[in-house]
Amino acid sequence: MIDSYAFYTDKLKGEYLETFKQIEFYCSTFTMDDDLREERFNELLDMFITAQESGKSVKKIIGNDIQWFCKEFCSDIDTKSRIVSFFDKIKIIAIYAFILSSLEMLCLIMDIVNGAKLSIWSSEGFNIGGYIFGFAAITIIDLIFNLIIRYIMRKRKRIPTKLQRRIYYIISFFAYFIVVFLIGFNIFEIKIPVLAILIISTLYLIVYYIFNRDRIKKHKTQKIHFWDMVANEMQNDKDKYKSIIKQYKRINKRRIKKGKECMTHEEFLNKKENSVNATKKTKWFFALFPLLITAFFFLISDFESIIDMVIFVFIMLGVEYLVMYFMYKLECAAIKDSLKSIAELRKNPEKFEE
Amino acid sequence: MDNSQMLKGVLEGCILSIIVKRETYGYEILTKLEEAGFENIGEGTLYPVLTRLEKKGYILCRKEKSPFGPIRKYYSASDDGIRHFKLFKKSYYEITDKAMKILGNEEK
Repeated sequence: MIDSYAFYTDKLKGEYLETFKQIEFYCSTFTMDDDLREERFNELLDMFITAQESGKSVKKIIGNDIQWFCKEFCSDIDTKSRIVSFFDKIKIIAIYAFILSSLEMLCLIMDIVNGAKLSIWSSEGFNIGGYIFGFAAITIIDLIFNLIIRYIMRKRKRIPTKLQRRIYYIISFFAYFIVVFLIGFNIFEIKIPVLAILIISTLYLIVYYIFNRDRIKKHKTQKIHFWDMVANEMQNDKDKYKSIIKQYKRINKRRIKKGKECMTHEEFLNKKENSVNATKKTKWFFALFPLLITAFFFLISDFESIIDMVIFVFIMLGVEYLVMYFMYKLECAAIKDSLKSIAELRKNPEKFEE
Repeated sequence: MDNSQMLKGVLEGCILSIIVKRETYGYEILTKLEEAGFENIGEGTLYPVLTRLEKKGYILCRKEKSPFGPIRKYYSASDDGIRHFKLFKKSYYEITDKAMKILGNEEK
């Protein structure tokens, strides 16, 4: 997953957020490749957040006419960007085709090995052709919808409101659903040999990779790991300090009731930091807990054979360690978030008085 | 009166002037233009000018995560850009001098 501008849009509020969403919607009706979209919206979003923090009105950034601004913003999308975007869409269809045809091919080979009188060029089984048609049709419907929306926006000289955009998204979702699953699966039976789909999709992906090596390498440098994304999401919350500040006030209220002196900000933050650091030791809990649970169920269970016992232990430990790993990573993200909040409060102790 | 054509002529030079002075980014450029009295120069007008300057090789761009999270583009002038700016300034002063000779003689 790349570090997209979309992770930071919730830093916008009020007119800035609504304006940004309108600009995003307008630009979504134009074909541009993801890299160009990321570049433009990153810059625009940074400008919006900076202006918002300075207390400026959004009209100072985009002018009085948002539609004029959007036209200018999308005015120089070049043909190369449109072509790249087209091939990116085909790549998604090729990936689905590759996965489906690989699975179908495996089933076909197993059937042949089990004695079924089938050829590897068989087109029986899952209606992959219909499914691919559905995905290809989405691309065309998307294009038609975009042209209609652009025509409506030009005629009405307005960008749709939040409600109108939601209605549009719901309508387009149902249109895609109908085309892919109902029509693609049920009405169109396109008899294409599975092996042919597998070969074509593989060739396409190889050629795509060769021509887009540099872009793919660039995306790797912009990658954001899932757990960093979780930590980032937690840090994006504007109320991140409030729970710590509430805790500070609650502790001091109790101390006053007991006739004790209030804790200073520094004392409280030191104590908080120590308790957060102490939770790092709970990694032993995540390592030992699955063993204890498995041992408990092992003791109360009755196995018919050693193989059953081994399979049981293997599956139990596998599932539990997967769950524990997920919870451990979430805890690490929470610890990272707390330590960052504590450091921020140390730098800006005036937040305690807010 | 619609000043957009006149503005298009000088805006590129003004933006290049800001970038030539030191490395800067989009919001800072907009702020400096606003301080100079250029109102309603939004991202929509700024962005095509910056893209054009970059394509011509007059400005260089590096990307860095901004303090707020999104990737920010920082612009600096290339050697070609500095040369082009000097030529622009020379042409601009020549044209305005000539224009002032005519317009200065007209009754207000």
